[in-house]
Amino acid sequence: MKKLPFASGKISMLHIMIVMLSMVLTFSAWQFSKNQSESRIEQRFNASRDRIVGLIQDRMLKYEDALQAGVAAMESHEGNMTLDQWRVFATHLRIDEKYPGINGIGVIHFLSDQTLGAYLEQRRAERPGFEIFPPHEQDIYMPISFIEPEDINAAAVGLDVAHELNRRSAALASRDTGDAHISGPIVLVQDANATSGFLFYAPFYRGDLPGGAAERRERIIGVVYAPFVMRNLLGGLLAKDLRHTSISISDSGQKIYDEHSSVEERHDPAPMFTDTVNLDVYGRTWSLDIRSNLAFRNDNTYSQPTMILVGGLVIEALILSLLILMVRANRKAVAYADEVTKELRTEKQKLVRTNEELEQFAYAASHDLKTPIRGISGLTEMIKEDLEDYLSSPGANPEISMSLDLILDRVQRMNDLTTGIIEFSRIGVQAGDCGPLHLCELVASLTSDFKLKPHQIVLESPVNEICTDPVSLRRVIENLVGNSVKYHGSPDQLSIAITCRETPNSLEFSVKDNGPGIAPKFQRRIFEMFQTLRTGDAPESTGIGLAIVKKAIEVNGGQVRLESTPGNGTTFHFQWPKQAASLGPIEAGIAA
Amino acid sequence: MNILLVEDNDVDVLLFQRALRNAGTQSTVVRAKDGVEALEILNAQGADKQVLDPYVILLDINMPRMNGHEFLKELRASEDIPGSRVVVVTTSSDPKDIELAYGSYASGYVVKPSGTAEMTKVIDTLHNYWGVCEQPVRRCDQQTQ
Repeated sequence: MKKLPFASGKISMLHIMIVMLSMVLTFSAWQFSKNQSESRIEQRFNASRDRIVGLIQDRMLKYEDALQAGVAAMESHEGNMTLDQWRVFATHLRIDEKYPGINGIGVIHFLSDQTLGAYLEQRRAERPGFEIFPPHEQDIYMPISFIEPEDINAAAVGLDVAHELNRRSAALASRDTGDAHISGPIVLVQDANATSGFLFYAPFYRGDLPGGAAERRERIIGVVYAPFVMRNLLGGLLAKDLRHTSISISDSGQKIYDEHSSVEERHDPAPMFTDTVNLDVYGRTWSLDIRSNLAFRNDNTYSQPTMILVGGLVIEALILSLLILMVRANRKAVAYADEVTKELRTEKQKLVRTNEELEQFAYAASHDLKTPIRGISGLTEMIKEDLEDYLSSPGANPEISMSLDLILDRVQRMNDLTTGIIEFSRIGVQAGDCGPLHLCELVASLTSDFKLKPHQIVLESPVNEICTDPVSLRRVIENLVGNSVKYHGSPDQLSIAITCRETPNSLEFSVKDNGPGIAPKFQRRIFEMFQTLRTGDAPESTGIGLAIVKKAIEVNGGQVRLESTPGNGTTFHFQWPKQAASLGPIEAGIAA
Repeated sequence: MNILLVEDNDVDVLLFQRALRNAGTQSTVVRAKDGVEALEILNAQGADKQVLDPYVILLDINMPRMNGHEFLKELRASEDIPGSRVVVVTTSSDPKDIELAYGSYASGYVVKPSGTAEMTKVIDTLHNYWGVCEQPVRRCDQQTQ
């Protein structure tokens, strides 16, 4: 048996290709979506990073403004403000409100041994017991003269920032450049927590703004300064709970501010993004280590790519399941078909057997039924012969001769019936051989057989010779013509027209007579066995002829129908295959 | 005309005899009821020999024990009974039977007629055939072979 691609019930290359293609599509869609999401998230992180860097820069500018305001105030007092004046200035500056993160704003004076005495005198006039501390080896003094608000910065009053390198070098750099400067990391004396901080200086000078470093050193009075605790500065910068990034700041490798601690609420141990920005801040370079935090992770965890991947994989699974189901169903169907084929084969064998039996039956019947009939016929004829002298004598009983004739008549009818039944039963059992049939010869032979005049059967056909099962077709036409002859009231008036028309697939025959016609109510019945429209006494009618016609036509794949109105003749139409009946004996047997 | 009639049906035998009589031919008829009996008769020698030479066998097909076809095969296979002329006379008009009969070198095949009148015609035809075959026998044998 030829196997179809699917009939094997296995997953084919086509199946695998479909699944593979679908997988590639899924992974491509997933990768594309993932890349897009990642790019979007990165952009958000960059925006967040730039924002915090910008905020720090803005804030420092603002603080510088505050310091420059102090410088301006100082210069407006010709570099010599009293404690009270500074307090008024600082109070008006409202640093608590306007400069969150700043610890205070104060003034540091630059002094030498020569100017120290006068300075101390002035300070002690304002603040009795004012001392400069701690002692150091430098040849310059930079004591914190004022710092407001003083209550939280009291520890710083009198502190000499020259005592320590970071504080001093930034102050000197500020002096020498004339610009604002911040110090390196320090711990503010006023910070009880001793955390990192720095000082922010803005210098002021005597007279007009000096032009060079030497002139600045000469004319320096001091610096307006602000101490910062990093924690407060950054805390005031932007509320942590509004940020998507955490930050740590290092100055020269020393960490001055750190949010990357596991104790932080939003700390992400494995940040999605990190970046380091080096920021130049008033003479120092701060290294900003910016990392995304948990808030960022929560806001930027997109499920879309995952959904695409999962959805795609689910579809793959469904496709695969479907294919497997299809293959299984197919396998079942093939198995079922095999089973049915097997059953059919068995049925076919049974039919072959049945047909053989039927053939044998028909053969046996043809002999066994006909033998006694022939016997009766022969014996009756012999009796008639023996009684010939008596029957022809005047005193003979006429009923004997009549009875003997009736026996012969009935026996003849019995013989016809048997022949008809056998003929009927054998239709289709033996497939007729294909051979040429000449319609003209057939018509001539029928005219002769039925003792008709040549003009009584007319043939209209474009074809004369047809290749077919000649016995079957002859049997059909012979029966139809025979019927016309049999049922016509006056055989001399009988006229039969046989037409044959060629269609693409078959030959369309019609046999038309001018007989008494058939009433509509009998038109269906006449094709049934033993149905005759004559009385039972009519010896010619067995009622098998049309049943044989119908069966022979149907076995050859055609249909027979009739048109008739009582008194106007009858026309039988039927189709006949162009080639001989291609149906084998078995199929013909089924059709029968 | 010497005839071996191989026929199981008594009525057919009667009919045949009547036809023979009606035809008015001089003939000897030996009847066998089936193929087995027919072979026994043909194989008999000397005093038991019933069928006179030359003879013609009229053979029915449908018979008990050994049917016509089987008998013909045996006959053609037997070296003791060479050159028998056989005319099949049977009710069967089955083409298979006809083919089988001629396949076994039957000289003729006749479908049994139903009445004595037709049977008489058959006897007449047979008689003509006999005339050809009997005189001279040798020529006829050469022809059939």
